[in-house]
Parts: sequence; C-alpha cells; structure tokens
Amino acid sequence: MSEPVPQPSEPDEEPADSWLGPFAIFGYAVAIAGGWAVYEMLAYADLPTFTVAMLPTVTGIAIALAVFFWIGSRAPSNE
Amino acid sequence: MTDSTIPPPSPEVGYVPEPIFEKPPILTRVLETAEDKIREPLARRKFFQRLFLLDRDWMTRITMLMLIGAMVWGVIGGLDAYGFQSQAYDYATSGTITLTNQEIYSSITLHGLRMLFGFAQQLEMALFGLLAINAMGVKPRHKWALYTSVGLINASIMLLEGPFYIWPAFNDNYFPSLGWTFSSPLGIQGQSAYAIGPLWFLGWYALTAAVLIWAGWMLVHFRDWLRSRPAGAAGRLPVSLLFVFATVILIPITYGPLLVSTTWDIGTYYLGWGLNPLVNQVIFWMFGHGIVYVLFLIPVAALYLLIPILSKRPIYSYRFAILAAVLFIILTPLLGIHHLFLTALPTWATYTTMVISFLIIIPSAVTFFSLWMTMKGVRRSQWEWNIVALFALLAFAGSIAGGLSGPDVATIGANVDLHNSLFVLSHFHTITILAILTGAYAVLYAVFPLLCGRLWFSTWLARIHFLTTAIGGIIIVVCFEGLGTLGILRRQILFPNVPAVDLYNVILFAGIIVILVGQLFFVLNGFLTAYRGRPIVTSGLSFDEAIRTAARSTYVGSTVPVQDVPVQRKATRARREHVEKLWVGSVIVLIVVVLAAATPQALSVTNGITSATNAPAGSEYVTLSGQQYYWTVNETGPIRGTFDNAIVAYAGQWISVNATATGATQSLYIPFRSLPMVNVQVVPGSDSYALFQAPSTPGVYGAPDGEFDGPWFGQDAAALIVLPTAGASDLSAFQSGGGAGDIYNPPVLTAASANLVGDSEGLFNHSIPGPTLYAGAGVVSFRWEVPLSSIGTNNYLVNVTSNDKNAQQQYVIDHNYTLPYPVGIYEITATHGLRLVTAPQSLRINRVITESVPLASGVYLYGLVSPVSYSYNPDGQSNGSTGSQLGEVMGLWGVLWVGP
Repeated sequence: MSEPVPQPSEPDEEPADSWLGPFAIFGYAVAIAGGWAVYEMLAYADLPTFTVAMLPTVTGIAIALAVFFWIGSRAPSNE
Repeated sequence: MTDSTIPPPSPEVGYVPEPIFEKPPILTRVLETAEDKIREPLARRKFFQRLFLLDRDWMTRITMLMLIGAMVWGVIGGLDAYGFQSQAYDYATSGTITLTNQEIYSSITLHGLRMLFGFAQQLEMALFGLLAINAMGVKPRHKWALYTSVGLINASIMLLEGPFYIWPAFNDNYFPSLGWTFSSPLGIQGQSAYAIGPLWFLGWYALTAAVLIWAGWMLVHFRDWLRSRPAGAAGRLPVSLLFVFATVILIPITYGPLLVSTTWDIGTYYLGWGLNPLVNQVIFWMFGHGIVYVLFLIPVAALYLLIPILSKRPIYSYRFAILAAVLFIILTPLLGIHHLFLTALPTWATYTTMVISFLIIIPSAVTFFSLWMTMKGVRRSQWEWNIVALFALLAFAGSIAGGLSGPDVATIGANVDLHNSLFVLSHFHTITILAILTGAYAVLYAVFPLLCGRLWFSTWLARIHFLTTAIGGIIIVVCFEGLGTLGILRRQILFPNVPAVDLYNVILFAGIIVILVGQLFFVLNGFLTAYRGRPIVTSGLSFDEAIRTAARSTYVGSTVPVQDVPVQRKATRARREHVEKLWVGSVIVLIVVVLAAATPQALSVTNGITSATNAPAGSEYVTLSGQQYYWTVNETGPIRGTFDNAIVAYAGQWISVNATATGATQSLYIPFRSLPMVNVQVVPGSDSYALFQAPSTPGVYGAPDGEFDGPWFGQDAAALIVLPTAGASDLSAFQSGGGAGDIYNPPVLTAASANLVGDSEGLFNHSIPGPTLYAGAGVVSFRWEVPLSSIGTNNYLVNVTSNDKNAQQQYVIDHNYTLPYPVGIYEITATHGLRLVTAPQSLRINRVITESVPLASGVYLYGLVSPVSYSYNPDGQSNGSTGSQLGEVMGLWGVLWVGP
C-alpha cells in the first residue's frame, strides 16, 4: 500500500459515451444491487439489536461500495 | 480465449495411450455395441437426431444429454415450487390447503434437491466439461466414465425422491425426503419420529459417486493439457478455466463430508452406531455450504469467460484472478458452521467461522472488481447488448446483491434475527436465481449454438426468456425479503393470515409463475434451434469469435464485428495490480473494522447459548424438552407447573431457559421487533440456554418452532403467555402496542362474538395457537365447532391415514362423532400448572359447542391443550423400507384471557 492513490485517467482514455458504455452500465448494476443489499439490512432498523448486530456490517458494506466506485472511477482503463 | 496463450496440443495429447491389449475391455465393447444399437435407429429419425445430436461425436452427445437432463429436472423442480406456493396462495386467500402436510414438506425438499443437483450441478458439469475440453484443445476420452457420471446423477435424483406406491392405490407422497437442511437425527430410524427409507441414503451415495467421477474425469483432461505443452512452455489456463479447475478441486472437498455424514447416518440406522447429531450436522454443513460455492463458481467462471470475450479485452489482472480462485478453494470448506451459529457449538468454533465467512468476501471482491475493470474503456459502439451480455449483466448484479447479503447472515449477532427466516431464502435465491441460473444461461446462450451447430432460432423467444427470468427472479427475491423482514419462517405453510403476509405470498406465487413460464420459452427456443436453426459457420474463427457469433444470433441489427482485435494495453501490469491491491487492502481494512465492532455482540450471543447465564433474582426457570412436535415446559420460580407448548411468565420477568430436544433439531423462536428477538437452536444431545426478559405488557406472544423438524412442524408453535405482575389486566395495551411486533401473535377476539371453527389442519381459525379470546370477569361465553368437513385425509385429530379420502370422516361417524381427547377450559395457576375448570368432556365433531362458564379474572387455556399421537400410515404402507412418521401434534387450543 505504499504507492500513491492512482490519479484520474487522462481525458483521452475516457470514451466520449462512457455514461452509456458497458463499464457504466455494469456500474449502475452494482449500485442497484449494492443499494438493495443495504436496504435489506436497513429494513431491520427498528430492531433494538440493530445497532450492535447489523449496523457495523451494513456500514461496512456501504463504505465498501463507495470505495469500489471511487477506486474504479480513478483506475486506468483496460485499453 | 482472449487472455490465454494456449499452445496447440501436441500430437500425442488426447489420444488414449496405447492400450495394454489390442482391443478395449469387453465391458467397453459391450457398451459401445449397445449404444450403437440404440443410437443408430434413433439417428435415422430427424427429431431424435437433431434433439440429441445423435450424428455427432460422443462428447457432444453426452453434453447434450446432460443439458436436456438438467432442463427436465429444472422444470420439475420449478413445478415443485409451484406446488408448494400454490398452497401458500390458497392459504393466504382462502385459508384452505389441498395437499397433505407430507406432500407440502416433500415438494419443497424435492424442489431444492432437483434444482441444486439435478439441474444446477448437472448443468455445471455439462458446461464446464464442454468449456474445458474446447478451451484446452485436448481430445476427450473415457467416454464411459462420463456416461456413468451422467447416469448416476440422474438416478440419484430419482432415488432421493424415495419410494412411491402404485398398488393398491397410487401414493407418491410417502416419506420421500428428509429435507435439504439436514437436521440430524431427523430421518433416522430409532432416533427420530420421522424416519426415511434407504433410497434416500442410496441417492446421496449415487450423487456423490456421480460428481466425484466427473471431477476425476476432468482432472484427467487437465493432466492431458499439462502434458500437451511443449517442454518449458509457459502456457497458462484461460482465466475462466482457473475457476473450472477450482470447482474440480472443491468437489471432493465438498462431497467428502457428505459421504461421511451419510455413512454415519446409515451406520446409526442399520448397525446401531452411536450418533452425535451436532457433530453430524457440522460435517453435513461442510457439504451443505460448500455446494453453494461449487455452484456459485458457475457465474464466476461464466463472467470470467464472457466479459473478456464480449469486451475484446483481456481480464484486468490475471494474477488476482488466480488469487481469487485459490482463496475460494481454501476458504469454502470452512464455512459450514455459519449455518449452526445458534446451536450450542463452542464459541471459538462459531466465532472463527464468522471470521472466515467475512474473509471469503475477499475473493468475491477481487472477482467482481476485476471483471468490472476489464470493461473500463470499452466504448458503447464496441459492445453489443445481446442476450449473452444481458444475462451476464444480471448474473453480475445478482452475484453482488446476493453476495452482499451474505455478511449479514454471517454476523452472529444479526443471525439471531435472520436465521431460518425467509430473509435467508431471499439471500439464497438471489444467489441461485439471479447469479447461478443467470450465469449458466449466459454461458448456455453463448455455447449452445456451438454445441448443436446452429444459430439461435428466435431472438424474441430469447428476449422474453430474459425478461421473465429477470422479473420473476426479482419478484421472488423481493417477496422473500419482505416476508423475512416480518419474521416469517421458511418452509412454513401455516403462516399468520395477516394482510402483509398474505399479499407477499400472492405476489410470490405470481413471481414463480412468471419465471416458470419464462423457462418454457427457453426450452422452446432451444428445441427450435436444435431442430430448425440455421447452421453456424465457425470455420476460420477463433474460439472467442465463435462465441461472439453465437451471441450475435440473439441480437437484431448487430453492428459490432465479431473479429478479435489486437489489444496493446496502455496501463502497465504493475499499475493495474496496484489498483487491485488498493481495492483488496481497503476491503481487508473494512473487514477488520467490522469484525471488531461486531465481536462483542457475537460473543455475547454464543456464550449465552452454550452456557447458563446468571439469572437475576426472581427469574422464571424454564426447562424445555423438545418433542416432535411440541415442547414440554417445566417451570420453577414464581410460577411452578408443567405445560405443553406454553411458557408462562410475569410481565418484565427474566426467563432463564434450559432446552433439550429429541427426534430433531428444534428452536425457540420469538420474533419480537420492539424487543430483542429470541432465537435458539436446540440440537438433540446438547443443552442450549437462553436468558431473556418477558415483555412488560401482558399478553399472548407467538413462539413457533423455527426448525422444520418434519411434516407437522407448522403446528409446532408455542405461546409465551405473559401474565400481569399483580391483579388483573386487559389486553388493550397489548393490542395497541402491537404485541412487541411478533408476527406470530395469535389474533385477539372478543369471546362473546368469537366463532371458533376447526379447520383441515386441526387449528382454530387458521391460527396456531388459536385466537386469544378476551372477556371480562363473570360468566364467559364463546362458541366453537370442529365441523366434519374439516376432517379430510390428513387431519392429525383422527389417527387414520388412508388413500381413501373418506376414511377419516368414516372413522368419526363410526365413533359417534366423538374423539377420545379431553377438551375444556383450564386455569393457569401460579403453583400447580393447569387446573380444569369445566366438566370433563371429549372432543365432539360436527357439533356447535357453546361454553358458558363463570370465571374470575385470570388467564386460561381452552381446547385440546395436550398433544395428540398420530401415525401416518396409509394402508399399512409404513415400514422400514419406506420410512415411518409418528408425531405428537397439538394445534386446537388457545388462550382465554379474562380481564377485570
């Protein structure tokens, strides 16, 4: 982990229609699927044990999703 | 393959080494002759020739046979789900059930078995074999080993169905199966009231043999590929084959424990070996969870295969793919105990399994990040959204949705709230339908044309198939999640008839119909493709190009060329791997933090189950002894007495439970929402403990058995009866407060206007326990009736089972409409348990009884408050070779609450 955080890709590496390319579409799928997984746990928020039993896990999942998108968006293209 | 450097096979590879004898063994010659005798006449008929590809090489023929077998079991397994949910639909909409408890219990068990093994396992074997042989470029051999494997796996599914009778009357619901969830000693003669026949065990043996033979067959071909490489060559497996190889390695590790568990059961059954049910369950679950990962590698391998091909790019990081494959192999066998978190297993075992369950996030995280990054930079114009790509997208999303709900159930503290609820089925079906099934379809749409030499017949049939699979699958997952969130148990047909539960069950039924009908479009398209599809031309095409050509036939107006494109990646391997490291490092840090945060609650839960916690002064000490299918309850403390299926405590009192069980694993399940939930599994042979506080509001709280310990487990529901600490109380606070959110609370009815009617399940008003009747002190009146029409072929109240639908009713008529069971009203006393306050009477059928009794304020039980012995034995067909089913069942009872 000693290397610096990757820098955003150069503009010429990004396709013009990136918001509708397969990378973006699969990204939306991750967002929906991940959002559903988080929602599933939040549906238990009325339980008294939620904060000690489920909250750490669901928070970890939410953060992992954010990191997934952050690293993925800044990583170099596969081209 | 895009990211592979496969050398051409050497001339020797794939050719069987020179046999010791000039001719093959006589058995092989006999089999070959027999096969030719069968095949040749059939091959002359176009229908068979096209459908079974009888004019093709043996590898193609067997693969096609496996695909057809898988689809047949898939359809039958789907109909099992339809059968079960049709009953749930009927129960939700009209309160009636047509099928017997045995049929319902069996249908859901067989659904799992047929889907997981007959369909998914067989499909995996077919697809992985086909992919491996083609991608490695080796010549297939050992035909009869593969034939044997195919024969055994299909035979195993029939064996697991168990015996059925054709004469004197057809009966196919007789002790077929034990249950997908193995609740040792359930099913073992002499150990359980629900015992199965030997075909069950033979089925497991046949299944194990089938899959092990296939794994051995695959290893032979991997070895051939290794030997085929020129000396010193650095050729590597295509990335998807890494996961095929991982599957082959995992199979003996997964199926080995099944062999041990089954053998132990048989030894106990027939040879009188000693049995430790908890250890047996641990061994079984090494298989039970491992098989999920063995099958989950279908979408993983599918995506590793298809995304690089569709993107025309190599995988983002080959070395991290290797890491993922290795971690899957290492961690998968160690996860089984997370199905047993709530048993009395040692804390170190459950906690270690929780940690490992979190660690297996790492290979999944690597996989889906690498796959996603593989597409980065692919332009919209370079990508075609054919059916292969759409199913790949769905499998990708389904894997993430299902995978991310895994850590929830793997968190011990959360498992208390989720275990055995329909949430688990939501998680499981997200994986099985939206990841495994869709991943398999992605590969099927890509390789089926290559297999049968024809392009897909209809793009529209393929589109409808995709849409119905997606819509039906999502409906199923969402409904299971909604029901689970309410606290509804899996497999339970006698669910609370409340609007939300009924609505989810109706929609769930619709979802099952949608996905089932959708699969028929696939079957039709597959048949038409094999029979009438246009020939595919693959000469001169690479494997990747051939896949794209096949996928293209599911798309109209394609503009994306199928030809491979040379790729010169700008980002160095070091840079790409740095990104992967950053991602994996982040995941590891998160796992450590989450585990640290979840540990105190996890240890608290497991320590509380494995040993008695010091109870506060004034606690109620409750000894539960689980029977099939009720609890005997012995209480000491401020309340003393013995009850059946009723736990009695004062409001706010601490309750210290020591629970044991016989016959099957059972559980104390009280799905509170505004209070901490109670959920403890009780495995025969070990003591489980619980310490919890009764609700502060007096009332009657539902406590069903959370383990499906046999066909009558739906009736196996207890009540936690919370008395006022002093004086009398009404139920207004209980009702206005929602009964602590326990969905299983019996409904409260005013006694005077209540009309209790026995139903075909031996319950009052479809409620277990029956409705809680409320009345003020004084003369309490209510009416009840068990109509003759409620007595059918399978009502436990009449210990007559027969294939004659009128036999039970005839028994009642012959016995003057009277059954020899005591019914009445019983006062719950603080010192002597139950006290009968009405005149002794037997259960009368088809007569409206109006009770009218002067009662003081207090809490009473009404109805048949002790279990009824029942033996399921239609026409004397119960015996050692078919199995047997006994039971102590109660359901026709409830609480009468007399207020001030």
